[in-house]
Amino acid sequence: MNSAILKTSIRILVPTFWMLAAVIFLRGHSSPGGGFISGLVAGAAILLGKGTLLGERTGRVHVGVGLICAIASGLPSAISGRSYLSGVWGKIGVVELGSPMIFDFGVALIVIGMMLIFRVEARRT
Amino acid sequence: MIDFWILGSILVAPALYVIGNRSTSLAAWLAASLFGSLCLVFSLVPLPIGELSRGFAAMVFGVGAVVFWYCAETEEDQERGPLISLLWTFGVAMIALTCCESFLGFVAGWEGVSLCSFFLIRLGKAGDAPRCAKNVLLTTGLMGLLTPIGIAALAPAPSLGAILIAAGCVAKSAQVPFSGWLPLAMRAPTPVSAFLHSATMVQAGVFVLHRYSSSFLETGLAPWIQGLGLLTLIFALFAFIVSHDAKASLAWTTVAALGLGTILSQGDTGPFLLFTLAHALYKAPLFMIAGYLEKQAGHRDWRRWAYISELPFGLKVTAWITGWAAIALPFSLTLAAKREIDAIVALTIFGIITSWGVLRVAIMPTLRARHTGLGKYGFPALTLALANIVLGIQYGLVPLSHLPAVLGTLAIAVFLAMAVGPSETSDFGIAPWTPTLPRVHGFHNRWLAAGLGLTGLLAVGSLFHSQGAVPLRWETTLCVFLAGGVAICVPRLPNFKHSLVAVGGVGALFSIQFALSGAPDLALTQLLVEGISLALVAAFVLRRPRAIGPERPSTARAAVATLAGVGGFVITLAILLNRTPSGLSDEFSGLAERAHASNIVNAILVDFRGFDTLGEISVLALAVVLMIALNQERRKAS
Repeated sequence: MNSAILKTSIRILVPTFWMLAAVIFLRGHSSPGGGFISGLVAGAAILLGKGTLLGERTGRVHVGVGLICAIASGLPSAISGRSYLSGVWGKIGVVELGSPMIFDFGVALIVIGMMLIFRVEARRT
Repeated sequence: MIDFWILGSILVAPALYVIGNRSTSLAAWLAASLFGSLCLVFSLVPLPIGELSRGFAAMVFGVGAVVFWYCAETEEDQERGPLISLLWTFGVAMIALTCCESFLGFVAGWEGVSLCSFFLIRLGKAGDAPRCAKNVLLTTGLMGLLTPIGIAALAPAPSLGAILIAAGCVAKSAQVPFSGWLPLAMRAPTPVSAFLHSATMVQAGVFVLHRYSSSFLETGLAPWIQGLGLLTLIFALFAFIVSHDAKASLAWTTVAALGLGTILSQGDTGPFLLFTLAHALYKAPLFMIAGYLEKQAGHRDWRRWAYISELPFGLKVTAWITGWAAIALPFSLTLAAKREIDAIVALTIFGIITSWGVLRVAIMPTLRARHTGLGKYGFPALTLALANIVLGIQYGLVPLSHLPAVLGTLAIAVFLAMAVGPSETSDFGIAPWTPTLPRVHGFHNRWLAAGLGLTGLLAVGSLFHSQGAVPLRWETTLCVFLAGGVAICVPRLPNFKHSLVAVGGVGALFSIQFALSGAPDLALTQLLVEGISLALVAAFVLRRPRAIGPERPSTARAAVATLAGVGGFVITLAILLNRTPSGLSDEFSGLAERAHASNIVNAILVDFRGFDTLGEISVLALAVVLMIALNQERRKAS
C-alpha cells in the first residue's frame, strides 16, 4: 500500500467503485447486476480506501446486519399471510420499491463483511 | 455331439507335453497347424452353433495358431512341454466356454480358463509369479463361480440370477474394482500374455455378458453394467499413465478395451464381435513385440527402452504395421469396428489410451534403434497385424469421415505423452525420447505438443459436435484448451506469483465463456470474484518465500490431482450430456413481470428462490464465523 501510484489512483478509484456498486445494485432487477456483485465492488472500494484501518469487528457487524436484513425482508409478507419471502412492493412517486431490495442489500452486506474478515484473517495466519 | 469333440481334444495335451519336452518347436508347430486348420474349419464351414460362438471360436483358433508359431520361434532352446500343453488346454477351455451346448461343458470351460491361466502364470520367471498366479485364480476362479450359480438361478429368480452372472463376469473381465489381476497376469511368459489378453481369458467374461444381455435388459441391470464399463475405461487411463512396466501398460490398455467391450456387450452382436476380433488381432502382436523388446533390453521399463540400440528391421516394420492397425488408421479392421460403435465418449477415451500405449510400447522404442538384418522374430506378430488389415479391406472400405476423430485421438495421445511430465526427471513423460523427435530451432517440443493437442481436441470436438452430443463452438473449444494448457503449466511455473496470474487467467477465460453463452450475470460475478480473490491472495501470500517449496510435486500427488480434475470433468460432461431443455424457464420469464423485474436471473435469486439464497448466505456467514474461530484456536495454541 506504499506505492505512490496506488495512493493517487485510490482517490479516483474509491468513489468510482462506490458509484459502480450503487448502479449495479439498483439495476439488478432489470439487467445484469444485483446484491452479490454490488457487494463485491463495494467491498473492493472499502478495502482500497480504508482497508488497513478496519478490523475484524467491522466485518462481523456487516455480516450480522446483512443476515438480519435478509431474514427481516421476508417478514412483511409472512405477517400479511402470504408465504415467507414473497416480494412486497410499493410505489414512491415513479420509483418502485420492494422487500426483495432489502434482501439484496443484506446479501451485499454479507459479501462486504466476508471480504473484510478474509483480509484480516489472511494477514494473521 | 460337439461338446464331445471339444472336451475330447484335451487328450492331445498329454501328447504335446511329451513331445514338447523332447523338442519344443516340434510340439509348437504341431499345435499351430492343428489350431490353424481348426480356424479355417470354423471360419469357412457353416457349423450350426450360432454366429457369436463361431466368430469367437475362429478367433481363438486363429490367434492360438499364431501364438504357437511364436512359441516355436522363441522357446526352441528350452524344454517347454508344460507351456505348450497348457496353452493347448487353455485354448480348448475357451472353445468349450463359447461353443459347448451343455451346461457342464460351459462350466468346465469357464473354470478351465482360470485354472489354466493359474498354471501358465506360474511358469513365469519372475520371483513373485506364484503369488500373482494365486491372486488371479482367487479373483477370476472364485468370483467366477458366481456365474454358473447365477445361470442356474436365472429361471427361478431372474434378478438374483442376473446379478450373480454379472458379478462373476465383472471379476473375470477385470472391470473395476477387480482390475488388479490383469497386470499381475503379466508375470506369465510372453506367448501366454499374448493369448490371454487377446482372445481367451479376458474375453470370457465379456462373452458371457453378451450372451445373457437380454436377461440384463429385462432386469434393468444393463445400464449399470455399461456404467461400470465406462468407469473401468477411465480407471484404466489413469493406471496406464503412472505405469512404468511396459507389459503392465499394455495390460491397462486391455482393461480399457474390456471396458469398451463391456459397454458393447449390452448391444448388438455385430459391432461387439467385430470389435473383439479387431482387438485380438492387434493386441496379441503388441504383446509379442513387447516380449521381443523385453528380451533385447533385459528389463521391462519402457522409459529405458528408448536406449535399445539395435533391432531387426522386420521387427520395426511389424511394430509400425501393428501400430497402424491398433490406432485404427485406414484399411484396418479396427477402423471398421470403430465405425460401428456409437458409444462416443467411451470410444474417445479408448482411442487415446490405445494410441498412447502403441506410442509407448511399439513405436517410440523402434524409432532410434539402428536396424540389423531382417530378423525372424517379428513374423508371427506381423501375420496377425496383416490379418487385421486384410480383414479390414475385405470388410469394405470405410468412408473417411471417421478419420479426423481417429487422428484427433492420436494427436491428443501424442500431446499427453509429451506434455505430461516433459522434464528430464519425469516419471510418465516421454522425456528419454525427446531426442528422437523433430526439433526445430527455437521451437520447443512442448509447443509442438500443444499444437498437436489443439488439433486433436478440435478434431474430436468436431465429431462430438456432428453427432449432436455437445453443442460445441470454437470459442468454447479455445477456452477449454487454454484452460487446460494453464492447468498443465501452473505446477511448472517458477514461483507463486506466476501461478497465481495463470490461475486468474483461467477464471477470466471462463467469464468470457459465460458472457458468450448468454449469461452476463454469471460472467460479471465470475470476473469480479476472480479479480478480487486474486488481489486478496496476492496481497497476503506474496509475502511468503518466492519459491513454492524445495520439493517437487510427487507422483502420487500428481496422480490424485489429475484424477480429481479429470473426474470432475467427466462428471460435468456426463451431466451436460444428459441435459434436457427445462420447461420451467418459459414459465419463469412470464412470472418476472409479476415480480416487478425484467432481469429474470435476479428475480429468481431474490424472489422466487429467495429461501435458497437465504440458505446460501447463511452458509457464507457460518463459514466466516468458523474461519474466525479456527484462527483464534490456532493463535491460542501457538
